[in-house]
Amino acid sequence: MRSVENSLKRNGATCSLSHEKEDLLKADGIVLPGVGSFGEAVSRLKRVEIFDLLKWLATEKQKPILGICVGFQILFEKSDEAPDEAGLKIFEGKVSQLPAGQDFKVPNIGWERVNFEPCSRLFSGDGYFYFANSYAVMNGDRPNITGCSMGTQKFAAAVERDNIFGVQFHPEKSQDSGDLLIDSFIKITQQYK
Amino acid sequence: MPCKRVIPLLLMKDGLLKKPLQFIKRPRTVANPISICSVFEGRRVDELILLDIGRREHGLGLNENIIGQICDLMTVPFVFGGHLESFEDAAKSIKSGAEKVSFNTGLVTNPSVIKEVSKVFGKQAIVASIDAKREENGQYRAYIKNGREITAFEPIGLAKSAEQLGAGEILINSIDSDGTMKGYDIELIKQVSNSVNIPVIAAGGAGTPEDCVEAVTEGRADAVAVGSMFHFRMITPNNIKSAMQKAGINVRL
Repeated sequence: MRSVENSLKRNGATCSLSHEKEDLLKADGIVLPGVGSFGEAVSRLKRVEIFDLLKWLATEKQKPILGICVGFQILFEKSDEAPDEAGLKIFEGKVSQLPAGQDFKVPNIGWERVNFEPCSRLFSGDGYFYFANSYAVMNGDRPNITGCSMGTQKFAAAVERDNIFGVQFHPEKSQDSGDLLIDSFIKITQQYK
Repeated sequence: MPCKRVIPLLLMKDGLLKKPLQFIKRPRTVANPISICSVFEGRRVDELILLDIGRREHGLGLNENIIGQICDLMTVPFVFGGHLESFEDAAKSIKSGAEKVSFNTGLVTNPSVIKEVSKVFGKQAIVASIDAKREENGQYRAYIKNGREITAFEPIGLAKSAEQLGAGEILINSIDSDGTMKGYDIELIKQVSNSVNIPVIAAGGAGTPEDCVEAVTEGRADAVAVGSMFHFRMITPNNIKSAMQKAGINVRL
């Protein structure tokens, strides 16, 4: 959380950590950091009564939203991690458990090169980003994937549609490439003002 | 598969960075933790581990201030550890800015805490730090309390149980090799890497970039932790990464 705030501030944004309705309504953009598990993240949003508000802001009010890691995963319909808890359903598709294998350890921890599609508004070309995930949106499960991990397991590293953005990695802990991405998101929020 | 990581392993005592030999012999003061972290940030390390080894002896509380200051300096992940024995200690460390917490003694004395932290913060937030020593009969045994107390566990057994409890990574450190700069205990690292499905960070003994290459190619480690070599030799994280790249290992340059 502190790292996400640091990263926004470092790139020139004014930000605050909040789950208050008024703050969300006023903000030019919202970052969903997402800590812990899919189920925990969803139930926490419901507990503080901003689950429906977030969906309305994203889909009806075109408020720019950036989901990070679990905050990205809860933008989808559901997850293997919490089969009884539905996500925000802003993006179609589901989150699956990453299959561990001979050359692939789970959790998937470390830096991977991510290749972004030319249509991406968050990042151009490719860059190294830091991942720490046991679940992911597998490629082919849905459209709008704008960035892919280049590793043995191909999964969605970034998804974008209109004002809604999500990244599986942690831009706040991805040094220079992370800063470039956060800077792009801040600039995007100004276009929607 | 992500890139293999190069990680400085820093030990703090009384607010200063120390580097002992084989855990307990002649700890030398090497730096101020805050200034050295900003050096490593500039040198593009992939991650940073800071273990507070002085807390227990001195009965000190958790130094949330230092965790916060380091978090503010680093734009790469930061692991904090050092006598974290309760859920509260771990939660406070994470709230203060650590991405991950490292458990050593707690793995043996308080395993339920690891389960709880894993459930709330996720597996990726927990590093199980195992200190091992080769006994006279040639077998490895795991030690706790900063290498002072032997346990009934072999490192492989402890690593497996940590994985089951919900740890996301294993940091395997050789007490015999620690601070010697004579190379990692490859046999130990290989044993542990082969016994778990979660990433393994090799520690203890790195003296040359080639040692780090060997930990990955022979020891099958996913990351290399380096202490003395950074403190006492003119070797930078990039020297290690270049050697790894030459050996065909995928790294973030």
